[in-house]
Amino acid sequence: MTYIPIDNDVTQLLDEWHQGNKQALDKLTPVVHEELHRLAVQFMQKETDNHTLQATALVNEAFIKLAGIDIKWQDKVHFISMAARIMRNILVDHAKSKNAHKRQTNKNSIEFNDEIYANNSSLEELITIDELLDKLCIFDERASKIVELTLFGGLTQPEISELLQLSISTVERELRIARAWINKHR
Amino acid sequence: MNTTQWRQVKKLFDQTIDLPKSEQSSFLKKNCNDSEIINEVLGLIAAEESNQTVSVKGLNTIVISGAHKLIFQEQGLNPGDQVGAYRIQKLIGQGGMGSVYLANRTDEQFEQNVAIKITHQTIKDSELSVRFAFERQVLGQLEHPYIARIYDAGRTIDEHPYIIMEYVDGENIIDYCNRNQLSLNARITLFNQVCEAVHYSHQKGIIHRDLKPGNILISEIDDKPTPKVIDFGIAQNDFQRNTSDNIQASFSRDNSNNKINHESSVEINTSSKSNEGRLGTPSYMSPEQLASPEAVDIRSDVYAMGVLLYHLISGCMPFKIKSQDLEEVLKIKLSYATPPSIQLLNNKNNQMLAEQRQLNVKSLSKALKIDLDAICVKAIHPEVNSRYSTISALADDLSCYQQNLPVSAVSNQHFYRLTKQFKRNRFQFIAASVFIIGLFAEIITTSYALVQETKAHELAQQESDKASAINQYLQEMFLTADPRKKGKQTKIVDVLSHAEDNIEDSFKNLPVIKASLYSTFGKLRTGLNDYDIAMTLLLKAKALQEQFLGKNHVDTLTTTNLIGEVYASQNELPTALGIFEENLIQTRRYLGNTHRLTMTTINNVAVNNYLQNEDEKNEVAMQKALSMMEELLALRTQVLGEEHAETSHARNNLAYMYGNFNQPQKALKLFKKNLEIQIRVFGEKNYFTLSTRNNIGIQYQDLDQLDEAETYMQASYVGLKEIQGVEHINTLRSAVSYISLLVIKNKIEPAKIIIQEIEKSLEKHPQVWNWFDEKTYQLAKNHLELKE
Repeated sequence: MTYIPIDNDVTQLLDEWHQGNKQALDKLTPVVHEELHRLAVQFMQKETDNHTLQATALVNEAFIKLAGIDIKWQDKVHFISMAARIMRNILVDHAKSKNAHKRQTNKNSIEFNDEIYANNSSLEELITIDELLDKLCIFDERASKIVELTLFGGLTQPEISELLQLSISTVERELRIARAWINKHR
Repeated sequence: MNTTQWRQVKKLFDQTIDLPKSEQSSFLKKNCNDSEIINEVLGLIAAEESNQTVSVKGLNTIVISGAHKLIFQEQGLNPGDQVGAYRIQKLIGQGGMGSVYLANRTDEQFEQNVAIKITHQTIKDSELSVRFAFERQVLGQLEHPYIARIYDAGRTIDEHPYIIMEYVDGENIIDYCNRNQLSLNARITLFNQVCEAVHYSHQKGIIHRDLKPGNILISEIDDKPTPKVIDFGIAQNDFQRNTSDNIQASFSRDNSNNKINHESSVEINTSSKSNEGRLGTPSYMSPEQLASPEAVDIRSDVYAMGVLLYHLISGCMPFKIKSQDLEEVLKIKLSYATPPSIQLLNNKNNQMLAEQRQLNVKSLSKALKIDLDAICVKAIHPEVNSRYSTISALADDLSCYQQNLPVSAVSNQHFYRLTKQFKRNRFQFIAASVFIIGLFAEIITTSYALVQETKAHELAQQESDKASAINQYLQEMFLTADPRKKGKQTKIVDVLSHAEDNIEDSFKNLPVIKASLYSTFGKLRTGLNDYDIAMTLLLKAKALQEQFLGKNHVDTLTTTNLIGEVYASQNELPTALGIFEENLIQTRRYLGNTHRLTMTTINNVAVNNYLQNEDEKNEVAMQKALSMMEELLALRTQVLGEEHAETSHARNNLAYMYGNFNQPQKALKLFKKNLEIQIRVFGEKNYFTLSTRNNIGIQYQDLDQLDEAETYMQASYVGLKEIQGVEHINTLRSAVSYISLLVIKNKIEPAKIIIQEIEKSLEKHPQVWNWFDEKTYQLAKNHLELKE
């Protein structure tokens, strides 16, 4: 795994992206992607008592590492939005590849034992959630975004309200109905 | 759903969700006339409500667990990486602490596939490196057709240890057998091949330590299923505990084994704070291995193989382990396993399990009954010494079963230990003089009297104004539980728990009384075989007594003696003996030789010494114990009188020892004398009297006077059945000697009647099968099978 040094260009790229430069995002994404990976692995190797991975911690840490702390608020908003999206992609891609692996290894088995693959169910659920978020986005982009920020960016409701310039109660309401809709369809 | 509709849904949802449930649908109907939208809103509300319940996995949980899996995969190697002389092909398994890769050799003409296990942790310690090298050498020597070869081991540049081993493209043994619907017989044959491999490694001095389905893979060679045991000896020392022991993964189709099913999937990791891990699959781990990984010998592998056998033949696991708490798992593991034939009947999937074995539930349960039950129960005995001492002994028993020969776990001819158990259980041996066995009325009257005589008296001296309180308390508790009034045994247990729970509150500032009660209840619990509760109570008593009365007080010494008796009852003889011997020194010094507690302690030292040395066949020590018992009888006769209950117990125990020392005439004479006295003192319908009848019968049998033997044994069995019920272990003990005698006398039909009577009780106490001699065992088994 290659080490990604703190890259001052990141700030610049964020700024450009914010200005509407799509290419900046293309350049930014792999950098953030790798950093999130690296942090996740490092996190696990710390062998702490509590192995619970918190997406929040990773996204925040990635942000500090990549962009430094002295960054404009607007940039942070965009960075976190992007990191949440990347986190989502990483996890879902991973889940999909794992699932493919499962299908492949299981093809010779005549009998399917549910119990054995019970542990993969959360991966399938993850894929389902991803698909539902895409569907929701078609008729309610804002609600979909709020769920994404919560689940994959690890943001709290006040943070989202600040980020998206919405009242906390609006965020709460959006989150509640979006969650209900996902749960209904999953 | 379009945006406009959704907007309407959203609005209605927000307005409706906080309304009382009963008003929701009328509100919606009033405010909206589109039934599709109303249904969508109601559906969302229902989804939101179900999300409040714990059973629905939260979205956050899903994401976090996905992230976990990602991270596990991200550690380690990528295709194309070089490890030793091998090139990584792909990841084939992964677990909490490491990963397994398929790799092949690059520097040779022909391709060879290998599996490489690599751990996330690193080793830098030079001492570990030395051990590691040693280990590699030992493991490299394992060459057996049913063991996956270890080719090499080493460390990557960044200090991750790895092991290179034969790649086995197989399926775990349980899945393989189920998928192919293998019969019991085929399963056992396969299992015995695995035993060969494990036994071979034991001969080489290597303990596997993590035998479980995922480590036993079956592949078909020339259309024949062939097992391969993987991960051999990997869990052996510190190095390994840091490496592959922690890898809960295996190969190929079995890649998901690390969470194979709910019964075997709980991974216990006590190593979160240190590297001293114990990660394994607790369902298959022996209690001693769980308690202390260092204290493992080949019998831990016997245990794991026993669990595997149990699972393989019945489809059930012997214990339901759901907890991740080491203490809790250990507690479960220290209990006796339910025989598989019974476990099967309780399994809700038993129909499917039977079909997987080409049988129906009834025929499968029947096939498991007795022989396979006993083999499994013996292999997974919580007590190391009670297990098969080697894997080959287990395999031999299974072969006997397959050839319809008597198996050692059931008959008792093959093992000294079992023969001894049989012999010992023929007699109703009173292990402790004031020990009260199972008789409820007896317990209450005896212990109440005892409390009044000894405890309450002394307490009255110390806290005379409190003495009436304790008496009243005991009376209240016991009189309500008097079987003559209520008639139900279960009530007594309830009353006991109630009384125990109330001690603390009822005697808050009276520690001495409190301790005395704890001690008495501990004794009652011992009599009821509730050893855990007994021990808890007695330890509480002892702590209080040591604090408030001192170590050498008669109450403290009494409690200590009772603690020893709890150990003795659980057959932990060395521990018990240690306590009794120490206590004898103290009682002699502080109470004198003629104190009842001293005499009780003498009895306990003699009895436990005798039993322990009987195990070790140490005749000199046994003779010494016998002499001690002779002295005790004389002493008690002198101090308590010939007719005292405790004198009669000593007489019984001495007679037992004579009988075992080839002095049947002497034994018979003494037993008979005891019987006369017991009839006078206890009456006919009494456990002790009836036990003596059984003991006399056995002596007659040894003297070949079979008719006399029958008269006594019959009376014993009938009497015990009447007073204790047919399910009581004491009754069964008597029944077994009676049935055996009938078989010897060729009275087959009467024998069958008794077998019939105790059938249900045998299910409850499968260990009783061990008490039968071979011929009787066969008769009983055939009879019960035919009847079905």
